Amino acid sequence: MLQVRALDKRYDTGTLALSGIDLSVNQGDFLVLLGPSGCGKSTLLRLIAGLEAPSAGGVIWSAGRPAPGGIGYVFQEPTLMPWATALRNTALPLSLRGAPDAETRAERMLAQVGLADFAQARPGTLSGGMRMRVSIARALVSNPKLLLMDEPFAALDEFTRHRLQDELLALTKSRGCTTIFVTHSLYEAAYLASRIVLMSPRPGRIAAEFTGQPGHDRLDEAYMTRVGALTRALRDLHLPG
Amino acid sequence: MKVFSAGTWAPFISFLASLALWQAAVRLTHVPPYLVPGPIAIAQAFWADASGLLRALVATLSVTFAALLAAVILGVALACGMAASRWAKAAIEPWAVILQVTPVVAIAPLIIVWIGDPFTAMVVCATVVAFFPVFSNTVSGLAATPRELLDLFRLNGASPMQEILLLRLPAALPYFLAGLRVSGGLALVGAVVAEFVTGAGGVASGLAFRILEAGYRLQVPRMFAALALLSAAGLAINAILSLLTRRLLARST
Repeated sequence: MLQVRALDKRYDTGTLALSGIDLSVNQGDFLVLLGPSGCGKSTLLRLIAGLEAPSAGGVIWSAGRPAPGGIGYVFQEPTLMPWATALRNTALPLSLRGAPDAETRAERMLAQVGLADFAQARPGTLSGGMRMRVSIARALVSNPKLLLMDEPFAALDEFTRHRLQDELLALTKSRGCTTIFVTHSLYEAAYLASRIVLMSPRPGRIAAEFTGQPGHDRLDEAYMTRVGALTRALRDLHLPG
Repeated sequence: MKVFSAGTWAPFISFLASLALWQAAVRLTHVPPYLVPGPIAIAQAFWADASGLLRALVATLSVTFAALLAAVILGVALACGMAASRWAKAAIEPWAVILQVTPVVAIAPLIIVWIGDPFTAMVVCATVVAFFPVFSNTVSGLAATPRELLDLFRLNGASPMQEILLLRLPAALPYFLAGLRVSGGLALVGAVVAEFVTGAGGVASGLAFRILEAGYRLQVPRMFAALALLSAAGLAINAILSLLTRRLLARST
């Protein structure tokens, strides 16, 4: 679907955030970018989205850069518009393009994340988990080919996080949506990913890559083995803290 | 319904008690009313020319509201311009600061010379005073739009117009309203200062001119009556804008 080639990113301050990133993302991947804070994984996500320009190298799309709405983006915070209802927040990517069926599609999307009864609620009245659901609904409402998620569940409690992880897996699977998911949690990576790319900081580089079918079962042996493998890799890499 | 809560009644009780104390003090010390009139003398002075004073109030308020309206339109428009382009921001900002730091009393004679019509001149003076809070708050509000939401708008191909109307302006609303409350009070101050400086008399003269006039004639109770009307007008403006703020923000949170 896309290839990141020899990508460097240097900030205006002179700091090298990313160095020599080579990465190919295939159709249907659930790719997790895993690494400590400050390793440039969020920056890589922003570069792929086109929100920032690389200093060298670039991103090559096999079918051309997606049109507006072709990339769904979920931030660490739900970042909803507090003055608009859950429905209007969800419909945003469609209404910006003047789609006539924006509200109907947003309603259907909200139902899929279990918020059918909260369409008219304002974000201030929703819980953190519900707000994140609206944020995910907003990212998926325009049927994007690529979903980018930047530590979306980091601020949620363990119970909500587990539920949302399962819901996310079901949603991306049913839509065949390619996903790049940034996290600093080994467990989250081990549970969600079809591919895990481990990054090291200062400057951000790709340190290792893991593939293999995820178990999607937290009590399964395969999941535990995967967590173990990641833990070992992390120890052996001697990543600077 | 907390009808009898302290917050509701305490201000009225303390106000009435102060009036009573004032009247008693004036009575007991026999201060002549041309120095310190009691509340009763002030009320009598008001009733003696209620229609004249209320007409003056209307004159002052029309300058106030015209100036507030002009300040809001100018302030929001310039703030949007500054948000749209860095070049415009660098070009506009110094002028706004110069306008703010220069005392309006010092510019007023120039404004009067340039603009013949006294009403327009007064509105311009009051606008200069009222402009800055609503302008600078709107600028801060437009700049405080969360970066992620801006990113989201760009990802979805929003036009600059959509970005301003659907995102930046609604996000700036709480900041704008806080500025509007300050500007509302300042517009009244500006109107009074403008009346003092222009010294506009005649039929359409405002409360500030009535205060000057009463001062020359040593009609101190009438001065106080006009002053009380001005305070009441200031309180009313503040109350209306507070109510507006609560109504609009209740919808956004």
